[in-house]
Amino acid sequence: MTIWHAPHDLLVRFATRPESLDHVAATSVETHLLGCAACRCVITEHTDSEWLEQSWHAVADVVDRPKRTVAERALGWFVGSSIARVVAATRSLRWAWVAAMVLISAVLVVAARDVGSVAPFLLVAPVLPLLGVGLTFHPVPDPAGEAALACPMHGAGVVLYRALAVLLTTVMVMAPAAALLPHVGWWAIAWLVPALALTALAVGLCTWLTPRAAVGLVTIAWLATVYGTAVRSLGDSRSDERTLELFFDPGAQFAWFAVVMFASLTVTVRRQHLTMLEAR
Amino acid sequence: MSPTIQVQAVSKRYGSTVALDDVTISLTQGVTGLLGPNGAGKTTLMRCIATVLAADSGSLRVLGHDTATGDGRLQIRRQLGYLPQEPGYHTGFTAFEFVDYVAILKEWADRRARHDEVRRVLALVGLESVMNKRIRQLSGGMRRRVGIAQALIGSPDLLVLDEPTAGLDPEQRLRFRELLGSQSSRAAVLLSTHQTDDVAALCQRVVVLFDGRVRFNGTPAGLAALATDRVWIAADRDPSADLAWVTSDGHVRHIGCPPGGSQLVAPTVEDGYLTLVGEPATRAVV
Repeated sequence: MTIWHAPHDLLVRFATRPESLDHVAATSVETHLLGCAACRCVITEHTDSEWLEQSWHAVADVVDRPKRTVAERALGWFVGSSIARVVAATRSLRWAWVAAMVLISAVLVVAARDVGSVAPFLLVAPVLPLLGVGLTFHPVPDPAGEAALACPMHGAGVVLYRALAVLLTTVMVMAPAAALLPHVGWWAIAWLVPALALTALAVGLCTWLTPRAAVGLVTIAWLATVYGTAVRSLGDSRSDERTLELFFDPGAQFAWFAVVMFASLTVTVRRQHLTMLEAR
Repeated sequence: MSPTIQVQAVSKRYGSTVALDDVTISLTQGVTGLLGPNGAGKTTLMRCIATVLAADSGSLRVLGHDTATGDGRLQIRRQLGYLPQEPGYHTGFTAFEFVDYVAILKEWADRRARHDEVRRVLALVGLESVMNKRIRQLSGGMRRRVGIAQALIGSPDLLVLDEPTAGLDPEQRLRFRELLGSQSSRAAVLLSTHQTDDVAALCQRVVVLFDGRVRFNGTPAGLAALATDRVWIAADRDPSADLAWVTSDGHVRHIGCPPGGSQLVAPTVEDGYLTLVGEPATRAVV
């Protein structure tokens, strides 16, 4: 038990003019204060309460500050820390989704190399970013759920930032995989505009339908069309080539670009419908 | 005083199911309780008021703004605190991070001020000691309090709370009542609940929904008065009673005609509620 107490004037100097004490004296007083409630009471009377409160706030602010990833910090330089935080909370940017993308890309590349054609990769790749965006929107376009929908900042802007972030992340994962395809040439990037078009189409449809319905509809429509085309050209020695030309040749790319423009216009006009549980 | 919430002939359907059927109510300052069995339309009405769901027909004005327009919704959201029935917690967040995240969405751009506000609301719900724990590590009651905390950010003019006391233990419910009492002096509060004692303790006004329609709109005393001269205590159960249940002291409480040897007692809010919605609701509430 502490029975000795620091001299009153020493405590007052410690509290009001700490620079007037040498290092040894200041350290001694500080150590003593840790174990002596009575002396702590003395310095409380001489401490600037406003300064103390500000100091505690500053300490608490550092301690409680949410940890930010490197990616979030980097994004913050471009879009501001608030938007960066909102984007970083996106479901589809979690490691599980990125890992799934890496795995699916690897399987598609192996399948493509096995059959000696880019078709398996190109025909599936456009729906992967779409599924990522769908996961982002499910069940509502925010990880904080309905509570976020009732917030003023939550709007089409946040939804689109998220969709863009997922799209870019998926592309960054899949682009190196595309480079490993056999006879790759320009086909390595042929899936990008269709992927963008399908994603934009689904976001556009989200202004009428639930996210699940919109993404499901576009995914099924794409896969059904691809499958139907492949079935129709069975027996044709140039089956893969014809299918790829149909979906990815320069003419098709132009059509996909038109879809992107149309869907973007739809989202712009109907953006208010993106921020509620139901799009209607 | 102009109404804080004005619901005029609002209807909402989910496919063939009618969730709200021509609902008209007008609410002002103070705490209003929304009672009704499961599926009565409480959550749908709260979602419409909280601007996260559009009504099929009718008009809805909240804090003087129309929920049907984008600008109206934005203005409402700036003055609104909303606790949904199932908040979609990002369980990887800590309690602090989650509330901080919602504060960002509520346009608190200044980090220092925002963090002070987050600490304030977490302290209000008694979570300051666990605010740096991940939400997945918190109990159901604590998660509910995290949800309440995010609704309190910025001391909103209107609080819409969907079953705020679900999962709270008796002490936490008492603390919540205290908290809401302090908020209601400056804000309008609309809360849905299955707990009639919460309504009796907290609410100046009560609205009973049943099958998507408003069955009662008045004071808790008015709701209790619906069962005046209809509540009896007897030693044994009368099989002909409309409703009867054994109370904690071993007596049987009856609603309806007096059983033999029974004693008339003062009705409670629960008695009034059960009288109003009848046996189908009793099955849902018990």
